[in-house]
Amino acid sequence: MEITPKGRWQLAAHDGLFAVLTIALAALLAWVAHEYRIEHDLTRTHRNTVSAPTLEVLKQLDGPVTVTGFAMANDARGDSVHRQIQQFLRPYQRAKPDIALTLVDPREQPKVAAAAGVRSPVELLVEYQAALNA
Amino acid sequence: MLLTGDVAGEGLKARGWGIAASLAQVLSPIRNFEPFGRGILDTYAVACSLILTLAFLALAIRRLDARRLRG
Repeated sequence: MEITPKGRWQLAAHDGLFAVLTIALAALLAWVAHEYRIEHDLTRTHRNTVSAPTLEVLKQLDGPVTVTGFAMANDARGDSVHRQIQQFLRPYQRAKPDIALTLVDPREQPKVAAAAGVRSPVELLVEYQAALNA
Repeated sequence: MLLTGDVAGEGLKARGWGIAASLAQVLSPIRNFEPFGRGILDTYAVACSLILTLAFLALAIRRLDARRLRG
């Protein structure tokens, strides 16, 4: 089959459109998967699950809990401190999904860190019903 | 691609661009395997790995098809 220059352009346009739509579909599917995420701890000792007493305390908390993590994005070795904080809080978020985490890099937002009275390199501020606990 | 996806995901999430951050997570297969290493079955990580595989399979099939059509 002979392909005219116009047909060649149409094929290229179709290819481009297909690629864009595939990427858009992938992004949407990933977002949906993130929104309806289910995590299951497969370890024998349930080391990624909060203990029963902690779970009991979390159940008693009525309403959302806001955690603000003040830490530099990366430590001296280049490891992501923010990700370590996220992983640390993840079991608590699984037990109580309305625990919201906000990460603040004191170097990028020094005023926010100073207003919160941050003094150590890594600090977590837990807010619950307008009470502030460090 | 691996590092870009990893770093971009953090930045986009911090700016509240959820869908773009999800796409960046798809493009970060190393990070998608992290939960398995910690003994967690995470449907999001599984979905991201599947989406990455299927998206590039679809693009490869399309590319081969286009090459066949152009002769």
